[in-house]
Amino acid sequence: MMGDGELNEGQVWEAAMAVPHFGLGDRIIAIIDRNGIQNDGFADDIMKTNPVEMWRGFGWHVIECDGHDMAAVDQALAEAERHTTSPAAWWATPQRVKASASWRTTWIPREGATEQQIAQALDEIGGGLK
Amino acid sequence: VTASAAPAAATREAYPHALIQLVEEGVDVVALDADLSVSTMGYQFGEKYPERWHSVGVAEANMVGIAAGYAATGKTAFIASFASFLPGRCFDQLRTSVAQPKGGMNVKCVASHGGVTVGEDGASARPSKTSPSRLRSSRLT
Repeated sequence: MMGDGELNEGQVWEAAMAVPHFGLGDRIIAIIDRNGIQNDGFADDIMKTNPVEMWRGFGWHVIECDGHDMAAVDQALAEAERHTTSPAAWWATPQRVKASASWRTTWIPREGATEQQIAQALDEIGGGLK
Repeated sequence: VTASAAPAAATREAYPHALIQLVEEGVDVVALDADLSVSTMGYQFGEKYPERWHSVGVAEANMVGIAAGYAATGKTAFIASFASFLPGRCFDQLRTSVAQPKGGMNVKCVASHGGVTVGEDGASARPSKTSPSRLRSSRLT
């Protein structure tokens, strides 16, 4: 399981090219949590790429699904398990980015959100965890 | 450099102040981070001199190469990350791109969060296997 910021690292792509080459598609599923944000800022601001097409280019069968929809998650994982001839990358859609409009445009630094930012985000997702 | 931060400041708190001071003294500084700029405090230098700083993402090896390139154009390049990643993840790039070119490349490596452990950041950020002797053996000072 990887974050989208983690996909910056070259080692990921060395593995991504090796797995199809060595025919390991029947035993490896890569899960990527695409929340669109990393320590230094938004993933697209730090290193903008097209990672879905990159995984496909390396020979992976990419399944995109809504990480908030557990039925879709189940279905995606089942499809990934069935896909034994090429590796499957299961791709969750943004979580934090989807949850709140204000957090889509505000970088929450590593120390965490302020109380005001949390309150605003909870309001935007309809009361959230109250 | 004598950092102008408070006398009791942590090393990382002094780091961006030292970079700013160097620029004010006329040194052509470029500083890079690899997705840990809030921890290294490098982002504070970026706020002051955005044209002289950027984050390259979670890509320490590439950060070393970029810094060597900047140094080749005459700039003084600073790169910062946790000791477990710099030099931990990019020893080879430091050796071949920074230390081995004739005369060495003017790249300053700032390895923060050394020591025995870094607490809640977990095992991958723990620097205990990053020995300075590895660097000395390869013409790095």
